[in-house]
Amino acid sequence: MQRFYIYLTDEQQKRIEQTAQITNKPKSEVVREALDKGLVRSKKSGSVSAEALLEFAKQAEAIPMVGQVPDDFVKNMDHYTWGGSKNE
Amino acid sequence: MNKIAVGDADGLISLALAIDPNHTLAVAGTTAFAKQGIEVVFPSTVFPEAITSLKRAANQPEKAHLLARQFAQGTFNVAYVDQDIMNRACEIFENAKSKQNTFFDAIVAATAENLGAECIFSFDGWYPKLGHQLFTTFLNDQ
Repeated sequence: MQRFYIYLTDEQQKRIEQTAQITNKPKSEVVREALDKGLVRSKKSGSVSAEALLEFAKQAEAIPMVGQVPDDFVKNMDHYTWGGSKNE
Repeated sequence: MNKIAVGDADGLISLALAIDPNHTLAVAGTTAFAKQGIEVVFPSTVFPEAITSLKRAANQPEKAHLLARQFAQGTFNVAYVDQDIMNRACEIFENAKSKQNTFFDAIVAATAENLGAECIFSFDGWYPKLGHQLFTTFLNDQ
C-alpha cells in the first residue's frame, strides 16, 4: 500500500467518522471502501439502506404467511414474544 | 451528510408482515426515506429481537430466516452496540417508568442519541417521551 495525502472537507471527515462508528471499521478502511465504490459507479441519489429495506419488505411479502398472526402482533410484539401484559 | 433514521424491531417486522395495520405506513415511510436520502441504521440488537419474534411468536420461520440471511449478507446498515451505548442504555432504562419499556428500546434510544438521528423508525410511543421523533411525525413535518 502507498501513502496518499489529500485534503478533506469537515463534512467528509464527519461522514467517515460516522461510517466508521456505524460499521465498526477503522477510518482508513472506510475511506478505501468508499474510494473503491466511487471509482466504479457514479454517485446515486437517495438512500441505499432505505432501498434495501424496501427490497427486504418486497421479498418478505412474497413469502406466504403461515397460519394466522394477530392484527395487533407488532403493536404487542413484546407480549407475544416474551409474555407479560399488552400495551394499552 | 445524509440524515439518519434509527430503526427498531417493530418497524422492521411491520415491513415484513403485510397483515400489520401499520404495514402500509412503514412502506410509505421507507419509500420517503429512500427519496429523501435518509439512511436507516439499526442497532445490532434489533436483529436478534426481530428474528426471534418473527420465528417464535409470529410463527413465520421463512420470513425470520430471510431477515437473518439478509443481515448476514450485509443488506442493512448496522450500528454495533458497544460499551458506551450499553452504558447510556442502562441510564435510559433506569428512568423507564413502564414495564413496557424494554432494554432493547433503551438501546435504540441510546443509538439514536449517539448518531444524532432525525427520527426513529418505530411506532413505539416511548421514544417521543425521550425526546425522539417517530418517523411518522418527522416525515409529516418535511
